[in-house]
Amino acid sequence: MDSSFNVADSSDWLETPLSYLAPVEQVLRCQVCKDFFDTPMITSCSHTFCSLCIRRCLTNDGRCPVCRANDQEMKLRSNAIIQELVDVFQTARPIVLQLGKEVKATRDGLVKRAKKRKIEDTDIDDEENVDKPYNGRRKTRSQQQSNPFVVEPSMDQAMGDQKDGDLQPDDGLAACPICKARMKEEAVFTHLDIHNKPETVAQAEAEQSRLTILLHFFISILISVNANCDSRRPRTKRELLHELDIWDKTQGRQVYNSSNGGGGSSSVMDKDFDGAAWATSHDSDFQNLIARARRKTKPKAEDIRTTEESNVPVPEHSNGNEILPNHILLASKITDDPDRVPQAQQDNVTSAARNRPVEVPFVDLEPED
Amino acid sequence: MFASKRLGKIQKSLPPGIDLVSAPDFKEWQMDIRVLDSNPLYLNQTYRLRFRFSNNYPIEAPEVTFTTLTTPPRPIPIHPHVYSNGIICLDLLGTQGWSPVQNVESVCMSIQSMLTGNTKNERPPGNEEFVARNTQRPRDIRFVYEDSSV
Repeated sequence: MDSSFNVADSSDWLETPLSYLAPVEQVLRCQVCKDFFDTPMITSCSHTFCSLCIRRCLTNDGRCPVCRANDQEMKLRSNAIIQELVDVFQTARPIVLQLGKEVKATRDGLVKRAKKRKIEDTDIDDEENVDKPYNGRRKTRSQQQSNPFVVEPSMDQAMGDQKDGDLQPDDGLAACPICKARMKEEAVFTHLDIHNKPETVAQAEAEQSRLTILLHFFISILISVNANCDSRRPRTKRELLHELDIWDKTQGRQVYNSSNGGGGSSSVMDKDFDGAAWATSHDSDFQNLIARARRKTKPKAEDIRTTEESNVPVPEHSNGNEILPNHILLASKITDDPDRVPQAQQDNVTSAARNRPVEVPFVDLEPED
Repeated sequence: MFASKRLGKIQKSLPPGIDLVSAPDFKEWQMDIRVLDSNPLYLNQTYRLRFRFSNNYPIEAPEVTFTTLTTPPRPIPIHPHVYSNGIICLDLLGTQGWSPVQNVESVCMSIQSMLTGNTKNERPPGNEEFVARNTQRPRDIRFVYEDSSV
């Protein structure tokens, strides 16, 4: 197979006399992403996962991936000692692995120069990590992320605002996700109403699909920002934006497609999608969403001040440990009438929103100058 | 990217009776499984499993079905939870039963043991009708998991 299969994992130890280190490494890896823990968080059922992984899982179905016990994001607590263990283990790993391989080579009676050089060659990646043990994982991730998705044009309509934000971070304006016109960020929601008077079926279809994408995108932002708040080495806003961009181009589309749920293979993005039927059956949902968004935008200036200054009220049972001021908690329900929400949206959205009592307005995610 | 690393882990050591046939990309993998004990229903047979992964894997379950081949011979195993078009009714492959800690290997092992423990030489009730009418993909079918004995 190709080189993408040659990722480091605990079975690397099995090829050396140090095979008993394989289970040690195994427990330092997240059971969801199978990678070393990144910002490990412990659940109330005492299982540990990467912050991002467990937040995605809980958003998806609200249960611990290992024991299926119900859990909530706000009950997650940082597992600091695991982070330290991972850090020191990752520092030691390439060196020890190299030693192990050399010992093996000696034992096999193959300690010829050529052979040794070959071993060193195959370990180049590991040696790089010695210099920057802390960056090892993130580096690998971004490398993997960057290649296949660079030239993917099709999510442009959903990602337009995001990309513009990346390219022109200094104009302080946000783009309307529909018509791409640039305006003050506060003005976007009001402006969206202009697009909310569909004259043709095609327009209605397009608007609704974009609203759905926006919703899912908003949730993905929540997850990323919250996971970043947990981290001891938080990424900058710019790095976060970049990751979200990639997330949306890959995962976002998937989430979006599945949001069509139950209805078989025809997706809102498909050409043969019955936009008229969709529009009729879900019209009240969209009206609800828009009405809610409008209500939130009007007193926005005030809201932001009060919410930020009061640092978001912390629920008692959280011990105040993990709900940092920057954590964002989603509104308890997206629409007023859950029965009218399309099934898959209910799965993806309201289950994500469940149990999060505090509402905050949309966050400013424009990159810093 | 989310999936690629995760899928890559399986390569090195697979349990007996489970073999990787092809994994051209991270969208679809083919696996061969055999039942190892002497269950007469599956003796000396090898079955081909097709895994299809969404971008959201492992948060979402992969789509796993049996497929047929003539050379080498790969039939659809007889089992009260396996339809003759290869669709498998197994709770861990559904939204409710799936957990992100599962992987290709563990799914194969579950299916292997599902076959091993079976003694009924029969298809699911309503098999012909289901096979004739079903146009949905497995992930869109709402199974009712009522029987945990087989």
